[in-house]
Amino acid sequence: MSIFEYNGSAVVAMVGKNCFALASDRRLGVQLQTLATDFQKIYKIHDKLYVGLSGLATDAQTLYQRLVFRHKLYQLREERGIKPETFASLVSALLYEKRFGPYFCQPVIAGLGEDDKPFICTMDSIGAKELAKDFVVAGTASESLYGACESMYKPDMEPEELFETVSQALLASVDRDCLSGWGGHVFIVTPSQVIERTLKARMD
Amino acid sequence: MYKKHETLIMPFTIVEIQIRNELFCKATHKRQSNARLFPSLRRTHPVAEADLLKVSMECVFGLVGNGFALVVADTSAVHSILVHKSNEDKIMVLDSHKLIGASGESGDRVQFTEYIQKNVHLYQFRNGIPLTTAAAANFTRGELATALRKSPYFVNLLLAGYDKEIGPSLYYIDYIATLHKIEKGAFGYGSYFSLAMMDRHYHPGMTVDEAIDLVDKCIMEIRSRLVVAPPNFVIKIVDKDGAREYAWRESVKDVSGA
Amino acid sequence: MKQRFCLLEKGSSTTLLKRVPDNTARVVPLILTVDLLFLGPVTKTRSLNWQPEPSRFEEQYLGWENRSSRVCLPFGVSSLARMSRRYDSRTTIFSPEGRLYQVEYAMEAIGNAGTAIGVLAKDGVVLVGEKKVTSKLLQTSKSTEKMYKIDDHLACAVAGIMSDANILLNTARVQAQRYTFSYQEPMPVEQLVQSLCDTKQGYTQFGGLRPFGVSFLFAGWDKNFGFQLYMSDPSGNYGGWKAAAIGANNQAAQSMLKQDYKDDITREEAVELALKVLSKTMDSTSLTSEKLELAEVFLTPSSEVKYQVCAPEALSKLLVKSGVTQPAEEAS
Repeated sequence: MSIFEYNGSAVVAMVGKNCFALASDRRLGVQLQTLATDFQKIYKIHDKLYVGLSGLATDAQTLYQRLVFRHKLYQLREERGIKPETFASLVSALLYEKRFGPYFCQPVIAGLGEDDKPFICTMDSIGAKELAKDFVVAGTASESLYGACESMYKPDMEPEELFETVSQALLASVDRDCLSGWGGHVFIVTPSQVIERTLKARMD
Repeated sequence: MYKKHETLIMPFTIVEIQIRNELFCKATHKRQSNARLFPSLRRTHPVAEADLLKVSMECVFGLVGNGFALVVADTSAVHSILVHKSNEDKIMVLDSHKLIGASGESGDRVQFTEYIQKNVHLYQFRNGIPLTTAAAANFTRGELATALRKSPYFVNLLLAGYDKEIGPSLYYIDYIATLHKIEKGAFGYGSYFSLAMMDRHYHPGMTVDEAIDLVDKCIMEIRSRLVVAPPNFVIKIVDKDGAREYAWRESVKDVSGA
Repeated sequence: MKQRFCLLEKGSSTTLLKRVPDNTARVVPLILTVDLLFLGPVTKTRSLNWQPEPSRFEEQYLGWENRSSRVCLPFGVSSLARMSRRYDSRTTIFSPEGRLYQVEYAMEAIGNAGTAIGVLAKDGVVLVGEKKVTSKLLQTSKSTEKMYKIDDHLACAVAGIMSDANILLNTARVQAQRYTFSYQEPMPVEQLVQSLCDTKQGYTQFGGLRPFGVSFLFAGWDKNFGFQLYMSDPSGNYGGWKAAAIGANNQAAQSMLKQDYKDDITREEAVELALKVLSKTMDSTSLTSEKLELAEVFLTPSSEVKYQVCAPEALSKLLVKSGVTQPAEEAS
């Protein structure tokens, strides 16, 4: 078993029309033992930028705290929030900094950039960026997420349709993964509002 | 130094990680030999070095009730097949309204909890205000995470506290410094039984009597089902009146009488 | 008449200076002149026949002071100016009266900076500052000049040398984020102020350093003590205040605040009071939004701490409303 599978996770980001969705499961486990079903894997950076951290939970927490630290200082100095592209580079730099002792964590970054253009991206645990126009996935359920997203995604979805699609994809995928699931957590971010919903799912 | 063991250290592909973990599994209870086999591992990858299947024989668990939180721990000091002591207190009173129950390597446990306790005290002396339970938990997590990347450490912690505005709270911090706020939680072999019991019988807003009743159920289950069950347990509680020892559940008296 | 000699050592060669007449009226007739030639590179002086040994820099200063007249001044003349010269060149040395002159000079420097006033209200903290417009050609920055956000719950107003302030602001911001990183909670206001003042203090004690020429007004909120206002000076002293002023005319402003401040004032009243006091202490006759900055720290209805800088248009309206400026002037 890989250390990336120690706690179990599923994270997915999907692009819609001038909006994006970022969803994750809610399980915190220690291998096959489930400890909690209200674990947060998606974090807010600012109103239009979110990051989902899959992989080893402790490293996700450390990484998130370091990201907040860096972003807050950036925000104070620049007097504006960070652009998603810039933030992705920051995450990448922080990860590569630990090249020979990485954070066992695969981040998914999703945000609205200039002119509210959606940006999604994932990277491996040492910061190699992987950009996509449609969707990105990460975590122990990533294989099944790829399949589900591949078949359900269509371009330019409106927020509500996007929510439905990403939720269905997530729930379908975690049912085939015994390390993730136990509920879902979905963010739909549009230029004017953020919709946050928790999903009920099978709890076994 | 890195080059020598490159394939072992860097998680490029799943195959490589599996190789590495296989080696870890073989050395599950021999950290020494592990480090001798791959001296660079200790320096480069303390997190990865932590055995993935690390479960201690101890039993520590806790829960949050109505206006209080409690932590229960076994009181056995065990090394391999030998029981050194059966009245070892593994729950530390962190400050007036905080408890920290710990399990793991006994040296790490004592050193780390004392380090945290002293730092929590120092904060209060310096600033005149106590840390909130959440702040203390996050501080503990941060210290453990930092320590863990420098050298191996094995302590699992349950931190219970009571804050005036927030009420009682319980935090789970495992040996790789995963922090989570919980209502009920457990560590060690005992967790397989106590978590199951609590899943069945726990409900939010339990009274002290109900909670103690549940604790006794858990202890009974551990004693009757766990082959290496420890004989004695201590229960500590924290509520608006402070952190204190609540009761002992003993089935053998310590021979040394200490 | 007694004669005194002074030996000045420059490098390895020793030069005998000219003899000078003693001022017999003094108990310690410490008289010397220093040839201009040796002013710069003087490394060491040695005295013959007198006590106490003068500070090394004393000769330089005295020599410099008297180079035109070539008249020597007796050391015993106890004018403060001269005493200060003797002990102020090093920040880390006390004068005989127990003062640190460099620190006092730093405070003096702040006296020339634009005024900043802070007023504590029951539902927030108000900061106002006077922007000094030095030249018409100067491009005024879009963001604030005197007010800086340190963290979401904490902001400050600055008076003094801005280049010094920037360094301190950066340390303050990093400090606040470090705390949040460790405890996942906002840093208590007083702790932040204290940590910054510790930094300031260091520069009054360690050799070869110059104190920061900055005073701050900190406005913030934390869960333990609610709204707070602190004032700090270059020495590293700080204190909590209900109303405070730093910068030019701070004493006048302070006494005005003392007279007009009432406990339990609202934020609106605090704004009015601060504007009124600032309008009276400022050199210019009328207040305009270009010369002013107004920032507030308060709680939103959803109990979040908010730092808000007043926009120039809103500020102009406020100025008219509070009667410190005439509407006609706005139009012109």
